[in-house]
Amino acid sequence: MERSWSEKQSRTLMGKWFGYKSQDYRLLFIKASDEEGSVRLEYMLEKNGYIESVDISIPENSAIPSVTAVFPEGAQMQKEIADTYPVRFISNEDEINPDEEQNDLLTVEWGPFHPLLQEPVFFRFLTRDDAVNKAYIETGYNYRGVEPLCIGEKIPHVLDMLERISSVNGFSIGLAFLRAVEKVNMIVIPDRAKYLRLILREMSFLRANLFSLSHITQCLGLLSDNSDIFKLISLYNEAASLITGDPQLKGILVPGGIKSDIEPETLFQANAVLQEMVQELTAIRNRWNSTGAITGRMSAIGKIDKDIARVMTGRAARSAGFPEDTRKLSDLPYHVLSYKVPVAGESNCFTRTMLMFEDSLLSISLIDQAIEIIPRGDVKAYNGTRNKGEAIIREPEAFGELILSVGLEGNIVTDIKIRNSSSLNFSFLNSFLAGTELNELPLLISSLDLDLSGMEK
Amino acid sequence: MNWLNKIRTRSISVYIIQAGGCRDCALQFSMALSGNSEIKGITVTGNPKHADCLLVCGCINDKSKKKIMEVYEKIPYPKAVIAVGACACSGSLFRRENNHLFSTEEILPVNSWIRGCTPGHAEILNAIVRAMESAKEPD
Repeated sequence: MERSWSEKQSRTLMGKWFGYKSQDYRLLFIKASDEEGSVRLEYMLEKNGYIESVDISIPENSAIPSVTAVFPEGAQMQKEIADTYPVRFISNEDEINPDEEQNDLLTVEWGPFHPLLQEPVFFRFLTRDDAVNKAYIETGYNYRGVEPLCIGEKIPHVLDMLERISSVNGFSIGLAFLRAVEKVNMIVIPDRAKYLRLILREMSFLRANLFSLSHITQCLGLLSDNSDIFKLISLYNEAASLITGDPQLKGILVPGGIKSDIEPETLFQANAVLQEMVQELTAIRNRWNSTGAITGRMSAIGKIDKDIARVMTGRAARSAGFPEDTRKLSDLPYHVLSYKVPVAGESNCFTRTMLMFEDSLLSISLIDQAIEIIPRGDVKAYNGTRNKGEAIIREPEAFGELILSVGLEGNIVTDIKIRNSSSLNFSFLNSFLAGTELNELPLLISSLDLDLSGMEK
Repeated sequence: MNWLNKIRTRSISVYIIQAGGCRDCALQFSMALSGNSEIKGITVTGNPKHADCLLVCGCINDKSKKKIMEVYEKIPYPKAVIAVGACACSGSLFRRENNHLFSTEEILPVNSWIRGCTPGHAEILNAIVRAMESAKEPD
């Protein structure tokens, strides 16, 4: 039997949300956990680095107001909770009924498998004159149930699984998990290990951005530029194989640091290989900037309003002029490096793509700076994992901000919740698709940096 | 007709299914095509009716299983199926009893398996050619 909150409880909750919204807070994370006979929901809200939390405990099989009326970025997070826990969220927005065809609209289905779709997702568009009027999006094809699989497992096994969640952001998820382990067990990692982690993380960002660029070139039909980008990816693979042997950088992180030290000569060789990319990346960027056909086509699609971009993360926000620096969330020594976060003035497909180039060049520059000043010393400090506790970690990933909540008891993981950048940004995808022409959809979607394998897990 | 299959390996059209997983195997295949495809005669097609073989990457869950079987039915004979990576071969780290993840051979007749997480791109190209040599004819 479904129970609803009383109207008074709903009004109190909505009042709290409206209060935070009026003070410019944004929704970061909704965490759910099972208690006996009830479900506990924790809404984490953030403003200028300061986090507030709204906790509620609701009886099982209850229906409570949806947060999307106040914080639309919570749509995907709520959907995941509704799929996993016995709770329903009531929204006043009309749900799109995919079977409802209006007379003058044509239904077009796309997916879940398509060469221009990076990951499986099913779209059903109601179109008028080749432009999307409404979209129905069905996810779930990437779901592997990683979070429940981690419960009761040992830390090394969980790390192996988390590094394989996503090809482009698996390293960041693994690193965030280890930060949580180190925080609970009060492990202080050596300085050299911090620098090495910084270098490896920037390499994973570079790889992610290069693959995004390769997909953009496929969507644009630029085969020779696609080939050039793949040559750059080969250079990256050469650099990564010098360091770890695995382009995805799996298996190198351990609690307390890095598995084994990397020789200075190896770092210099890898850096020399990466610096070869700078000229080619700059050339492709300048060529696209000066090609009217590319700038004209891409600038006209995928525009994101500043009000929506404010609550998004990653390039979607930075392209609208918000200088979100997710690297500041990290505990790695970015403060000693010199860099400026690339931003643009207006968010559209073209500016987001140009930011991919800038972000790639930034990663190469940061790797170069870190290798110049990396100190000598140990690369591992590990006293064992004995403590019991919970930690919430905010970590940069290639496409925005990642949040991880981990519960540990000794060497066993008792709870884990992951919210990647796509969990936030995906909530707005429906609004971006409206008005877009069908043949521009692959370009629009690939410029939004959706990491669905990280989102669905 | 082994000699006929040998001839078919000179020009192979591949349809890739990224079933759900980290997508590194599909990215490795794209890397492989950017360098060596002219030598092996391998191209990617967006239409299963034009494909000779089906490359399956990633973990297969209940939802993607139905769609994968639909795509397989559309590919004309002779056709081959290649399971790429640990996830497609066995479910990798994510497979447990009763968690509704499938390996490719549980739903389709597989001609070639490429194990590894992630397998190298040269192995993928060689496996495609080998799989076409044993492509399935209609019963």
